[in-house]
Amino acid sequence: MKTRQELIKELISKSKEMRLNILDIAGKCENTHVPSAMSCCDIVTALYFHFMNYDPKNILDEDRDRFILSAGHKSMVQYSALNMLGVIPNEMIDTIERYDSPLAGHPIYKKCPGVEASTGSLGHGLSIAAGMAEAAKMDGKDYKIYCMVGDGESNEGSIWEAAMSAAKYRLDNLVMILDSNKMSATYPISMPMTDYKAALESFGFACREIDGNNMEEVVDALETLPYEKGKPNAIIANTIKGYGIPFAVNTSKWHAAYWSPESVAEAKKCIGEMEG
Amino acid sequence: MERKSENIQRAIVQELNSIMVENDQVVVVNADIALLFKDGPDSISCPERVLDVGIAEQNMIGFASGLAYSGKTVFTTTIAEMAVARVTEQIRLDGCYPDLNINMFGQGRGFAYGIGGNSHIITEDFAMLRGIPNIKIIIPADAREARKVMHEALSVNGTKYIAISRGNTPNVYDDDYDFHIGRAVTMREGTDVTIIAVGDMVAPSLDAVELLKEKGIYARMLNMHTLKPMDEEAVIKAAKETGAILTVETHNILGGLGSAVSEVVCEECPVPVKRMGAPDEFSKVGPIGELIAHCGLDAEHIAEEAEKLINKK
Repeated sequence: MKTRQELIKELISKSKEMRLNILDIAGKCENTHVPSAMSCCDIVTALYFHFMNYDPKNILDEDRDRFILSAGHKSMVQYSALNMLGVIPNEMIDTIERYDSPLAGHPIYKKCPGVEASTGSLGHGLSIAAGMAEAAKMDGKDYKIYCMVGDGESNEGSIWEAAMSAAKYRLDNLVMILDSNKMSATYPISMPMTDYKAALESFGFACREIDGNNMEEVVDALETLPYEKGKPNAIIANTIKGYGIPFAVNTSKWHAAYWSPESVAEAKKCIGEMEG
Repeated sequence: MERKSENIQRAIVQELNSIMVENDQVVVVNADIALLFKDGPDSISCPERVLDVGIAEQNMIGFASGLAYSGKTVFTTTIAEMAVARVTEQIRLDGCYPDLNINMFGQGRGFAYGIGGNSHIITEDFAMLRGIPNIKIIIPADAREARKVMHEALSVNGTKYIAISRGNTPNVYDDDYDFHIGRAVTMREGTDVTIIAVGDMVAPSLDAVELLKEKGIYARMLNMHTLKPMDEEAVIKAAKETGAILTVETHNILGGLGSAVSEVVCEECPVPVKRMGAPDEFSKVGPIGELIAHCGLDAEHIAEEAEKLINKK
């Protein structure tokens, strides 16, 4: 049996591996969103490699936990996790963004194995996740739905429509993860409402606020779920957009970009120098 | 012609109740406006499977999508304008793209909410949705047809927009008949001209057929209850056998039934076509009857246009 410290260490190492894998995949793309994937990489690593009930050999198991990438442009992080689990084979990764590939810049249901819902236009995923959580309740199942939402994405009113209904239907099997990296595509997040914890609590969520790039805090937030019976859960993860790649941090230049072999090499060097 | 009428919303709720009792995978999601909201939630037999997300139409479709991804067959309900215009992107990406079983009622389409003004009138719904792959657009002409649509909706996969009028609608069917999504119903046989209508225009078109008969003109009349996928075979057959086609709809003259029929006729069997519908302008305010009259969509005008069209053959 692993100790908690061993688990954290293992996940840190896994997330580093995943960051490198993301860069390898990005190197095959014409234009992709790497910094948005880096900000939530630690949480997604912890979900796929420890916390989610997810069997890569049986990806349609009806009792599996579901991961919905509402912020669909973070696709690199999900493709990478699924690739490392063997769900997306390397040959499929090689086709990314090419003609008729199952792997687009934004995930496609049924085309890409392991993708639970088609997303990409922002503000859709939390509604879908809430509907899935309600279906689980109706069917008496106890699987969880994890939904990754961006802070820029939460400018979309539909996110708050979804939040209202999740609280109304007491969806404590729903876990919203707000990747609060403080940047949208072009600008720093400019909306005056920045206290997502207070906002979501007022909508009826039970919340934890963490440093989303600190694996110990990530593990703590995920292992203490559900937070309160009858309330949907939210993890407000304060993160850094481009975490691990200093030259890509908080700059619109790298939000959606071409990653040349040189840029990939330079970024991988930075990742190599990360602690852990 | 005087016709008996039946409340189309009540018919749907009755059918929905029996379907929900039989099939525990059927779920209803409302955005506040239930089909019979004045009757309250007591009118539904399985209240635990009737959800209300509040006045939040985008979430209604997204939430329905999540249920459908999980294997449920979902019916959503609200006013047609909001059911379509407000949520076209959710329909496209959360329903049609993954091709999920979401049956979206749009109640009061056309001019049914005419006194409410253009925020509640919708004569653009077919055009807004027709270009989305996978979608099915179904417009039951009366309460009997609406019941049949409910059952077909369970056996035909995919995201469907079921556009209905509101309240009491005239019965256009005297006898039972075969209903299949995507197959037009020949309401009257004829050889001189074909009138193709949808929804609330089926009744006046049938009356127009009678007026024409008095003049010795025999018009075929098709109820194109499924606008998409449209029964192209029936359209081509009508063009070949009757040589002229008149389309009638309470939809903008652009992008609806008339456009869909014209596309097929032009490519497959060019014959004179006349499109009757709403002019390309925001509607005036008023009771439904007067708004329809303003568009010239009554039996007399339909018969008149059919006669003119025959002269163009």
